[in-house]
Amino acid sequence: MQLSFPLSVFLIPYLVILLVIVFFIFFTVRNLSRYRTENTFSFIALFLFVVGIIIISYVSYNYLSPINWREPVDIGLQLGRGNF
Amino acid sequence: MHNIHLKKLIHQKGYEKIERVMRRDKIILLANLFFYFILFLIPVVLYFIFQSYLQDILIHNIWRPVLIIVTSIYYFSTWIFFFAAFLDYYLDTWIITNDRLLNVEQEGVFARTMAELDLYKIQDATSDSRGILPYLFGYGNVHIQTAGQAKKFELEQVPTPHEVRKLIMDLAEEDRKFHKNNS
Repeated sequence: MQLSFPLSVFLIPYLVILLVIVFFIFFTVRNLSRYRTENTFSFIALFLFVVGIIIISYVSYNYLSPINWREPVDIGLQLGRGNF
Repeated sequence: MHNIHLKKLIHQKGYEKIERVMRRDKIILLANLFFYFILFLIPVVLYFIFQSYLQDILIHNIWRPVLIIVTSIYYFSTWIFFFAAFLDYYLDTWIITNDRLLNVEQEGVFARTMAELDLYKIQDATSDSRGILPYLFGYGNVHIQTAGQAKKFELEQVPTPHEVRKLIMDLAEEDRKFHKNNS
């Protein structure tokens, strides 16, 4: 039996995890902006955090964009015959 | 956005003065930074160790995207957990005023507790610096016992704990005199 699906199927769990990550980013940024004690230091920390997120996003995009996500993935399932 | 600025929160009483704002010792933050630095290096080190095996995977039409996706998730997660660890350090604050002791604690991303204690209620305070790292770097804990409260108020991993204990006890003594004179 042959199972075929596009490579883009792998992007579904990736996007779900990215959504969870965005959720965490939102609350992390919110915590820092609400409960900060020093404005300058908090701003620098927040700036570095956002820069890190942008760099990781950019590098991920650069590596993922050249991939042909329409390429089919074939999985062959071999059904064994029972020996009685 | 609604801001809870700690200094504004403390300046509720006219006579109140902030004596000290404290966080955990900086070495705690550095140890966390080092841990996450190692986590960031792990994929790079693995790449160099398994370089010869990875050549086939890196040109494979399925394993290459899978490997890139996994690496991307790993770096996103590590960066967020690193920042959450920094916030856990940065947002945990103890504020000593001439009237109260405040503890503001961030526990992970979704929990935050605030507690305060009137200095004149303090009965006893002990400080300790146990273990190799606390002893070497001079940080430790201060335990504060009050009348009528079973739970101790604790300042954890703060720099110069013995000096902090003395400061709290001196301020508590002054606050007791102040309350006696005004009652």
